[in-house]
Amino acid sequence: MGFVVTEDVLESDPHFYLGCTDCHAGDASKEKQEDAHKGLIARPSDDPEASCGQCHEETAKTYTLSLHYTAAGMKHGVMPRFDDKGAELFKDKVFEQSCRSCHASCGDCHVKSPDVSGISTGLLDGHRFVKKAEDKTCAMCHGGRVYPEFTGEYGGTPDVHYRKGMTCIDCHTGDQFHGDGTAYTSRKQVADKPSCTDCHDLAKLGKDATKETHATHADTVSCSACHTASAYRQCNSCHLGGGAVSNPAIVLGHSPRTPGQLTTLRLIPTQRETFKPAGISMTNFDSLPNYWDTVPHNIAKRTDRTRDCNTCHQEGLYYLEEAKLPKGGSTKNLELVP
Amino acid sequence: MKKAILILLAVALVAPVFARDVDAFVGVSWVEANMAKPGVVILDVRKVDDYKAGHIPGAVNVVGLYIASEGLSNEVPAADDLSEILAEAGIDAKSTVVVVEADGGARFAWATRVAWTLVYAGIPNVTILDGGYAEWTKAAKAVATGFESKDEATFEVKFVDSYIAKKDYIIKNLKKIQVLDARVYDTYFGISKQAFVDQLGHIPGAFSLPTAWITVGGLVRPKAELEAILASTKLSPKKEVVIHCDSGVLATGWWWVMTQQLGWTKVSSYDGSAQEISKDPAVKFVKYTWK
Repeated sequence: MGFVVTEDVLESDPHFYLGCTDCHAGDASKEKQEDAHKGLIARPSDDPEASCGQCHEETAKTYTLSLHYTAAGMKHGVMPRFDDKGAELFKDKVFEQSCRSCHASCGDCHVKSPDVSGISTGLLDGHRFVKKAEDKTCAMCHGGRVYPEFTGEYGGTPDVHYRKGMTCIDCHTGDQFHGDGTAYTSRKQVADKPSCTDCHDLAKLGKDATKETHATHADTVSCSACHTASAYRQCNSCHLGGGAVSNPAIVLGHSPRTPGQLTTLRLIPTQRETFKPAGISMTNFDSLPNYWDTVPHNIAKRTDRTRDCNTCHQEGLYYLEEAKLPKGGSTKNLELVP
Repeated sequence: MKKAILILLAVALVAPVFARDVDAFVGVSWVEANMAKPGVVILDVRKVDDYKAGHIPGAVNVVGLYIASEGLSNEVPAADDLSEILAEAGIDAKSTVVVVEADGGARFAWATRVAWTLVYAGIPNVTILDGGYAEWTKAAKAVATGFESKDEATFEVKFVDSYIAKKDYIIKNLKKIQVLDARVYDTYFGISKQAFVDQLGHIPGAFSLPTAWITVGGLVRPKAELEAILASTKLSPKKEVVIHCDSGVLATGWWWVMTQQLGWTKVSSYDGSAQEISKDPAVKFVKYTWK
């Protein structure tokens, strides 16, 4: 039988100038496991400032306010659908007991892959502390949509950036992972988030026809509306207790968050009865649509929309249509139909 | 003398004509001896993360050589996209390309799928590292990390149409052609099927020859064994052969062996495979039969 923490691991990682109990508590002087494990802390970095923060003070401090740690986006994204009573019930009975269990500790990204529905791929590299292992960490929590769309494993086209060797952290900087010290309620509020134009200067990009096309559409159409290569996951029933069913599609419609912009939309699986099992009704369900603007991570230089203007201008091939809206969905959905 | 000339002529006429300057499969020692030569491109087609964690020094990484399109799982990218992808990897029509997959077992057919795509695109000198990257690391050869790139080449694909089969042609010529089903026995016989395939069983009259039989222990079987396995099917090299599987990957395994190693000339791979043709009412699959 092999050991999880070997001599080799201990010698190769400077973190191990500390002993096991410095992070995990317990009593190293005891021989019997039951005695040694008394007071054991299995996940020390659930409290970042008390653990990793002893050395990485600033990072641990900002991290406790980051969306990865607070999971606040999951709470605030749905709150407008509740009345005051419903909002309180949701916070106690759903968010704290379910959504927030998904918050990531330092160790979930740097020591072992995070648990998702009880499944983890285990330690990243023995018990070594790993700077980044996006395919084992980011991919676990963002593996329903973003990561497999990015690599093409969802059944589409690999993102052009992935093809060129870029992975998550090449666009999403350290501040976005660790937080910048502000307690945001949504990732859309984050001050320093990636934008295509950080690297791609539309005024200089491509031939004259490309420049003209970009100039014409820049204020009214998102980059992803034209450059999303293939169908991405539309989350029909993933969280409704009936099994995860997804119908991949490209859906173009008005952005619910950027007025006047045509963009890629993703169906979100919240229905009127979603929280009924927890005894919570959504009295203001129609205050939010069932689709959110999204940036599918399968970007390509050429798509059927960049090759042929008629794809949108004549056929409206991917446009959201009233007849295709989910039955019993939010009345707000109508505002998204182009 | 005349007799000898006639024999030589006859041999020349029936012997396979290879347009390639490299074997269809190469081993670790060949790669090591040739990897630094001008014109040789080591093409690592594993996931980007795996490539970055360790690869054959000098190898370039390319993914996206088969994509989902129009309801089919594994299609050839558009000509302009494919040209750009390969040119950016430093590949042109004169390159000798060594395809490196993760291993020669589960990933074997993904290597042949890439290799088929390259020769279909007009690059004749393509080979596959037998056993894949696993064989390289098993031999304890040097490994590089990170992402490498080569100077961009000038390349525009020139598709070799005879290497690919299309649905309408197959349906029209079903009684003339020999169909080779490269899926496993269970699927051929109609016991099980992939969710994306509409019918159980196989195309009537199709020969069964699983691609899984090409390799043993993660390496390609000796040529004589492959020839013997192929001979058991009673397929005629003089008649046209169309190979299919479920989604156009396994099919390329036998296509690669037959055309690039054994010299068969009338063989095409059906990209759309059962995923496409099983949806066509003109083709009724049969099950519980070996014919």
